[in-house]
Amino acid sequence: MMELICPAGTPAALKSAIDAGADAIYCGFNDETNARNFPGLNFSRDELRNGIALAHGRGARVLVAINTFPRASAVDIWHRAVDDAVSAGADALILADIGLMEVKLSAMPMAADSASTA
Amino acid sequence: MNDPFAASPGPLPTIPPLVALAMRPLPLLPLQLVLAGVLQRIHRRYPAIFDRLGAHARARFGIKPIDLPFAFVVEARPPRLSVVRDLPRGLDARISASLANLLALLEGRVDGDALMFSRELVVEGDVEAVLALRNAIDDAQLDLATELSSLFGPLGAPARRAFEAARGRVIGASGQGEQSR
Repeated sequence: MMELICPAGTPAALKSAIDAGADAIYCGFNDETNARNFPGLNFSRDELRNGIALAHGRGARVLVAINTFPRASAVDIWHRAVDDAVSAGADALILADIGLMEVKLSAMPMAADSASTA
Repeated sequence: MNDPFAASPGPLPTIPPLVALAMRPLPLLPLQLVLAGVLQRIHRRYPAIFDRLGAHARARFGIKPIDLPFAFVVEARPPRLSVVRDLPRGLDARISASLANLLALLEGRVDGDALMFSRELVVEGDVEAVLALRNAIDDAQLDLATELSSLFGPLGAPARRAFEAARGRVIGASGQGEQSR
């Protein structure tokens, strides 16, 4: 079955994607855990939580991209991003770092096939 | 959401030079009062715009409609707008385009990247601040006719229709040139 999966750089874009019938939307936090961490783009924690609630209410899923590689001196930022995405209700994570996947996903409620490398 | 398969529109119209010349002697203060009121209203209704600017919230942007004899200096935090004959020195960034393109950008009806590549939009100075501003405005999905007509109190509804008609003349009928957002 074909699915329509759309990117969203802002809450408005996420809503537009849902309105247009997206089956899933992928997005990320407005920090260095996101490979597209550009000025004025992406989601705060609250915006992601609200966006996921909106998407789920309309039958769409939200995939959260945490697709940069942790810095050795600041791995907590990436661990926290995974924790926050999961607690916000993310349906899947898109991870770049296999080590992060190994460390975090063993304790995650989502199945292994809900995470992928980017 | 707009039709992504709509035909690509041509360039938006510019203000005729004679009209711009006739506007040159007009006082700037009334326009400044109106636009400052609109900015204050946007600040109240869409605080997320100013949050989304992040580290650039205190940047001073110079906005120059190339077909008008005046320009704007806009600051986000605190919200402040001045109408000037010429842009001053010391701004963080300058944005120049025709009035129609600037209005269309403000409402997210055109693709800013396409305008820049076609040189219809010129950005100088802190491009990162301008990018943050563009993305913040895109997220707010502003409707200028609504914002302007709100200044007219009980006459808001007819004022809104008048602004929508004026917008149609300047940046085309609803949907023309709109980008998906």
